[in-house]
Amino acid sequence: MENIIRTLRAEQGWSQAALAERLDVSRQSVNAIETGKYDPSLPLAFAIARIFGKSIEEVFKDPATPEPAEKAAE
Amino acid sequence: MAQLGFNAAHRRYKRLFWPTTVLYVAVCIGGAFLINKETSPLWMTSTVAILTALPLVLMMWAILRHQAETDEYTRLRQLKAIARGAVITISAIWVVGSFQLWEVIPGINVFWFGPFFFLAYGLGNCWDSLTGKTV
Repeated sequence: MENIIRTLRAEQGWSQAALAERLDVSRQSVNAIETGKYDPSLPLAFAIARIFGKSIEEVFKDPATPEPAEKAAE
Repeated sequence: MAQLGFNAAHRRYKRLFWPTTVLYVAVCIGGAFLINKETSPLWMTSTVAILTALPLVLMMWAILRHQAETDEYTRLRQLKAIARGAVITISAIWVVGSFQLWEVIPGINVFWFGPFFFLAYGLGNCWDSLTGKTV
């Protein structure tokens, strides 16, 4: 699953460790989620979205789901 | 064991890990000074044996508790490491046991499979990093 956590984190000026501290997970967890090597559970995905004041759909993107523009073209 | 999150689980793990490590080292050193295998009474050697095993059992329980209480990704990594360590250790037990069964090699103390498990568990923990995989 793709996500924009790295961008959102950079906007806030947070390190991976700082975000991990806020989420109460390990820094390795944040790194694995950011790089797409690990897909978080729904509660953790909600917690991540909540921290950045976004919805889950804004933070995470399913590569199999077409973009709204692509959908409209169909 | 309820999920506490990474920080609280890690603190609880360290609070049990360090005293048990100190106890284990103290018992090993103390036992080596106290026990003479030929002259020491059975109750004394039995007590030292139990005191040696107790911190190790506590440590195993601490590992189990930590994986239950920590965050989901750390739990996944720990469970994979424990599974790899267990598979390597059990495989070694089968191989060594078969050699012993057919009297190819003499008896090996079962005790050594304990440290072997910790070694295999440690390697299991490093496996993803070594192979470049995260999950």
